Amino acid sequence: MFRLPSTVRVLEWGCLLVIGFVVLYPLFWLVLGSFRPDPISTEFTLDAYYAIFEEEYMGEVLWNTAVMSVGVTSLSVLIGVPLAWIVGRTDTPLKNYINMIAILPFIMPPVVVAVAWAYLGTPRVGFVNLFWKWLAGTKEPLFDIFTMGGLIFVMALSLAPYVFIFTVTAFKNMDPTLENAAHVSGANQWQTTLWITLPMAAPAILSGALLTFIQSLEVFAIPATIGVSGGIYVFSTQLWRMMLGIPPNFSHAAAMSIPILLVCGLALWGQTRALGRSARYTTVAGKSFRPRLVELGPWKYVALAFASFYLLVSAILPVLTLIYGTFISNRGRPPTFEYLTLGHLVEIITGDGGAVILRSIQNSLFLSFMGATIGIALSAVVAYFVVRSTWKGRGTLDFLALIPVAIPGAVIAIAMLWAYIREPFNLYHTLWIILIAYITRFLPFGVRSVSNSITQIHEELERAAAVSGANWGVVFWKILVPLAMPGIVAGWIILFVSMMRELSASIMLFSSNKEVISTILIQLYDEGLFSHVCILSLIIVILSLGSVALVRWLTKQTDVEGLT
Amino acid sequence: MQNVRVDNLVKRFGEVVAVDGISFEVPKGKLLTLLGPSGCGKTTTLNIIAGFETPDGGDVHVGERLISSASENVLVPAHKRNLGMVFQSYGLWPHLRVRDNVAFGLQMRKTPKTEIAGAVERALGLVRLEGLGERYPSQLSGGQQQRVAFARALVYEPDVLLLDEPLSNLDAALREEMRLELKELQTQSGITTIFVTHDQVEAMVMSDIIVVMNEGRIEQMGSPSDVYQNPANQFVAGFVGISNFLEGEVVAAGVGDAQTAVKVGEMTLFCTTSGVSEGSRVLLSIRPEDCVASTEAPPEGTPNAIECSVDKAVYMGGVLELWLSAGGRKIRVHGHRLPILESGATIHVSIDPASINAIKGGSS
Repeated sequence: MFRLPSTVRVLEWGCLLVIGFVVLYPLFWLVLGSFRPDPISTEFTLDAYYAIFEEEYMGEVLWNTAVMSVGVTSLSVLIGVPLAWIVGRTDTPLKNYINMIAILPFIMPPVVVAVAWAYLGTPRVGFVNLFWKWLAGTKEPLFDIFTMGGLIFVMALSLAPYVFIFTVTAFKNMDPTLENAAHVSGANQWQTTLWITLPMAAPAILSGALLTFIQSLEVFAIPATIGVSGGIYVFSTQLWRMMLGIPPNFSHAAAMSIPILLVCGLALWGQTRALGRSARYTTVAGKSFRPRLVELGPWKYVALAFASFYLLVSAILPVLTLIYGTFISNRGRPPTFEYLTLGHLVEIITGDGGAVILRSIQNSLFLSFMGATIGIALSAVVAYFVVRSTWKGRGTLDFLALIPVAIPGAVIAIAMLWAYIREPFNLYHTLWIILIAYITRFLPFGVRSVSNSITQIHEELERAAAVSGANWGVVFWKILVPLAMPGIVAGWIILFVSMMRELSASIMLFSSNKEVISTILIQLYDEGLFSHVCILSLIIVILSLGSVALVRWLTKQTDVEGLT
Repeated sequence: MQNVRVDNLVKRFGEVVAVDGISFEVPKGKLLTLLGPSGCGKTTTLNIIAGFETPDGGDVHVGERLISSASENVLVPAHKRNLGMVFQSYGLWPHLRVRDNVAFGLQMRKTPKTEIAGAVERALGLVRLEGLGERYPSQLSGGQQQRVAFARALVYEPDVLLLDEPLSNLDAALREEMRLELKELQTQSGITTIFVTHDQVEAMVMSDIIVVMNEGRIEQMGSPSDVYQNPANQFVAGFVGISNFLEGEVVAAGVGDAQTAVKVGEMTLFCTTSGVSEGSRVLLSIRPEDCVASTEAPPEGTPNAIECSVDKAVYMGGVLELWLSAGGRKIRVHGHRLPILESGATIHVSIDPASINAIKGGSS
């Protein structure tokens, strides 16, 4: 690597300070806040900690959270690992379609899955239960979604793809020699899968499971709809309840955030370690191979049925529900032509459904556009220094930019409130505090997106420019940014869409006139406005689907130009 | 220990015929090498024997046992063939300790635990890795990993050992050392072995029998010295070692040890090859190291004495590599104890008739 001039060192320090401030300043206030009775006081006290552990419901909330997280993680592994094996290592037909599971979390955000399943699984009028009653000729519903079982089921549907993504990569990148060696040694197909294939995928499975665990603490929409409707409160919804009180209980919320933050941090640490081990197990330098596929015989149809069932309940049924709700005149009517209407759509567009819906869309667009633009600019600089710099501070920078992954959105929001409602910021009840929360939350995703694309650019291209007489700034602007542009744009889109549907931080930070799409969605759900919920959800799905297509197209552009 | 018989093996990948009717036999306890350039079908052949590829035609026997037959629809799965195999990338399981890597085959054979420990120790001893059983493969050097792979393949005393270019990942010095060690290991254990390589020196050093393959077919089968000294055709002569090829016409056919005279351009060269008829076209194959180069003219009457001019001379350490012209033909010669020669210098080359090999039907 060529020697960077000293102006770069200044930039590196500047970048480190900015990121350090963005990430650490709120965390500092969160910790400090947990020892203060309220945001104005400067008194030091442990009261908040005593108070939350003396609350009688606290035991129940902790128990619920533990059962939910462990249940969701286990069920996700039980769904995700077999699916990954089916796609990665068997001759199951239509594998390329099943592989779409990998992009499912991006297309179907938790808030959409949550409301759709609330409509599908209500005991009395849920569509699945109605179908069951008709099919079995009974009056008893098949199940009640508003239970702990239902909560775990819907969350696992939504989070299983994370286990799938990590595991399928490990299965696909496994050196076939390792399994051939087992066969030659006398192991049959099942012994080989059990003793060689699965243990080698174990770190990847663990890595996916830990990420799912973090996500299960982080996801707000599903506990807030399905959980709350069933009277089941978990950590994130309990935080919300504290902040809904008048006045909001800032100290208790802060004190409650700390243990969860530690648990998430620990899980993230384990996840990175497991991922490192997984990489050692599955990659052989400079080699590409096609692993041997297991011939399932007639069992491949069982595998196909399993995968199809998962896609049916996690994506197809929910989307059908949303489409039905968008165009049906009244909930419960059969979807025949006479009952179809465009009325609900017109209501939303003309603002007759409530000016608040249109305003929330405007707010979301503004926040997402600003957030994605500032976020990606910051990410690009961070990614550049992390990937290319030889500076010893780059490890710290990399670590700082990863921290937000381990902070549940609700906790980020509490930290934001503690940090930015005071002098010199005074951002309470503004859109700006939401904007800062978004940028902080999604910084790791932006950095990862840009650094992936910088890694693919051969360093010699930059060196050639430097040798030709270009200084650091020219190299960055004239060489690196244009070459990394597809990755930067893809990153921008990812940030934009993530911000468009962000809920767990927004729900704590929004105020009257400052609503965003997802908070309105929850509000409409609570008010029982079926069609409006479906329309807003469908908008989110279509927007997400469009951006997935765009991102895929952009990444393909990078490949074609052969920048690797 | 068993012999291996391969009859008329065929394997197609779509339109491409990877293995085109191959037959050979490995006698008990011998090491047979499949030698050829990449894409010649040697690895495919090995994979068919191992059970990783399904052949489109032909039979494979291990001893009296038919393990693969397209016509009789027999396909014993890899894990029931009782073979040992060492892979090019070793294929050591990264999540298992060395000891467990070696023990795996015994565990699959339901060997009692008490016996496994002893067998693993002996196998590690055989490859001189005593005391490294608790390590993980990633904590071993390339050469050590290689030896673990051998111990793992030999520990359950398979009928046949298959080696898929096991030395190609080692650096040059280690490769040379391992060649001899491997051969010794094979002779010691007396296991029937099939070895796949594209390295002719490796094949020469290690084999009892060499099978030279090209484009899915066998070009020549024989002992290392046979293949080297009497290549059956231009491909073998070219692939095994370096050869000069000179095309000519037989002007006097010899019988028995009597010399055959071949006219190459303006030169007449003598060789001891018999069985070629007068007037036929032949290709003479001459090894560079069989040519004696000298600045002095050889005594009158020396057969195959040629006066050449030097095109290029490259000093290679012990040897002076010479590119020469004689009578309009180019030849390559290894010179010993010669002064550094300038281009255009004159040099005298003589070749023992016994080391010139005439290949029939030489126009190619």
